[in-house]
Amino acid sequence: MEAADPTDDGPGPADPTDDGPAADEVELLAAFDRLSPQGSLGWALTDSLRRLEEPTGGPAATAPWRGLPDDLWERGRAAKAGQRMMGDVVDRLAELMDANARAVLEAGDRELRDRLVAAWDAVRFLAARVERLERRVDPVADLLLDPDDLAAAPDLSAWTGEAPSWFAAPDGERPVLVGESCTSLAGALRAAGHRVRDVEPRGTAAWRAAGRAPAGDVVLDDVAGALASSAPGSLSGVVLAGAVDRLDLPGQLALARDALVALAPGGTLALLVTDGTAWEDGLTVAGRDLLAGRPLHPETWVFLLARLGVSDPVWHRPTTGAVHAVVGRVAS
Amino acid sequence: MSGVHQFVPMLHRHDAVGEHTRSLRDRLVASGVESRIYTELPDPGTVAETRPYREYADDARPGDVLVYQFATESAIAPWLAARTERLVVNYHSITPPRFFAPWNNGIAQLQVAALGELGLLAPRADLGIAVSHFDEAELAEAGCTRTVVVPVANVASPPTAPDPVALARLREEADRRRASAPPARSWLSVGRLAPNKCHHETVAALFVARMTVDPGAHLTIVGSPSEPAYARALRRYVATLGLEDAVEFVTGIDDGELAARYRASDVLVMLSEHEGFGVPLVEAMGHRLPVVAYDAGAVREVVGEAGVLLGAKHPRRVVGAVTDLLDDPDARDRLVARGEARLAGLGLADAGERLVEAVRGVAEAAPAAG
Repeated sequence: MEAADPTDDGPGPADPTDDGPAADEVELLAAFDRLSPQGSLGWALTDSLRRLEEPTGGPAATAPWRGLPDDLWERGRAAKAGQRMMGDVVDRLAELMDANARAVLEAGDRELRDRLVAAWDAVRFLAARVERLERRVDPVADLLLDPDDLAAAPDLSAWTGEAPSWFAAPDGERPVLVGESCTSLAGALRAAGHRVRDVEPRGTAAWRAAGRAPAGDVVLDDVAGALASSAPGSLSGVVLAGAVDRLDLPGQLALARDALVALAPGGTLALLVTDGTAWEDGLTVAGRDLLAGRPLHPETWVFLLARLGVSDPVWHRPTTGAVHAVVGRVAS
Repeated sequence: MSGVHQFVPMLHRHDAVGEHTRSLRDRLVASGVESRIYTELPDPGTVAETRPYREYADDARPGDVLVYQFATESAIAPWLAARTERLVVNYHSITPPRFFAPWNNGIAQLQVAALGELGLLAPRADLGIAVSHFDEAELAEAGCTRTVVVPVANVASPPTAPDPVALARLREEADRRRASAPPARSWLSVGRLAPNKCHHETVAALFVARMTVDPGAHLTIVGSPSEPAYARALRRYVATLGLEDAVEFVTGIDDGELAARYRASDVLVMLSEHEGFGVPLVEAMGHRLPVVAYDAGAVREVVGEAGVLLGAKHPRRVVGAVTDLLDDPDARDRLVARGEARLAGLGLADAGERLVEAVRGVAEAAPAAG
């Protein structure tokens, strides 16, 4: 052991022999950060704005944070409906701009540099505030990773036979996105010749537990994530079930909007919506307490889809079961 | 007759800046120089030896040199900046406000104001005195054109003898822990309970040590709760991690008991992010206690090659450094020997004389106009 070598790490933060903190160490230290009192954020924002107005050029005008964003674009593009991310993304944006400002102005105008750094600080503190507000709006999202624990999965069997008729002729290039966990419906569409992307929110852990890999074109994500990561106009159809009942109103609307963006002209949007009374009966106690959303009435969906630009949305009543279908097409 | 007079926001006993100020005054007086201490606010414990700073206007003599003991925000700073006497800024380091921002808005604002005052006084000073090259760089960045480094002048050298009763008790407690769950290393952390000292990271490292290599490891944190919100959070953190029996908070002890704490420990762990000097490092070396420290501020220039310096300080990294050091008695002994040699090289013994010499040098130069 070379304990007597005092320079084992050298000065500064970089240490090529050190992999940095593991996730459990980060969490251990974050547990302390959470004990800091409320109210300091306001001062931090005030201070950065003060530096904007009165740049001192002194040591006070130094941003207290470091690091470079590496996935800013990916995170922004892949944002799901209902996912808290705005504060994080703005924070990373501020970091990127700060780093660029420092790089560009390193040898240049100090006062200008300090003003830029202060501006990015202000953005960062705003981001922290947004993060807090987002957490207030949706305080349990992180805890509700497996919706099956809270609400019964809808029984879609009533629509397996009829669903293929809602879609235009199979499009060899553009798949139909079906989610979530609509295995039988996806099978019916495949049998009708459609290319189907089956969205499975229960993820890799569920498949591993089953001891097999998912067969076919399966997206291991929730449907909001699958839509957010789909290119505009890349789908010939979208079937939404489960999540469309569970999400709160902003989340339901975001889901419908994301679906319409991802659909090609003439593409079909089908919402499989659980009857309100049946939904209540299928909730667990925790689901009744914690889930922010409830299914919208099919008539409400018809109204909303028409406002969102869907051509002639139609409400299909089920002959059996408690799941309604609302189907429409994007204008060609 | 002209003199060298000091200004300090408050003069406290048993406080680093306060004792430094009193020590300088005593040395100046002993060398035949008239010297008084002026304060913004009186401390009941020292009020008999200070005067309100505004009274200096009546006491002023041509050729006076004014020494400002600069550690925090004070109304004295702008007042001094407007005077015409020769000025020496004795800089004791300003903790950057970013450390306090999450904990105490008021302190953070004061630190911002203090930095502003440094920017006001530094260019105006005829001499800036810093306790380390790290602090000297801050002085220079703030606009001070003539600087000198004189290390802390009031560190006991040789170190204070440990209180024998306290030492026996502490060793007995350590032996008991060792018998119950060896190796039960005793970690020591000395410094105010303030955010920049990062005691919480030492607590986190202790937690990892107890979970991995040393279930009986024990940490003593010696320091006053100078930032109450941080100190409260630190105690809650200890409780949250179930470390109430493994972490001891100690404050208000005398030099003899502090010396006993150094002697009864196995390692000083210092993960501070901002140190203008780092007196505990010197004290640890004086008491033959090996040092594991984060390489920040003036730590490297104080410790030299006599400590394990870390470029990263996440818990496993700290635990690895402590374990490697203490598992190798030869390496530990080499480090301790280097510490003793390092102490001699720091020039602490004649720091007081050098401080007086630096201030007198300004006084003996041509007097300022006005």
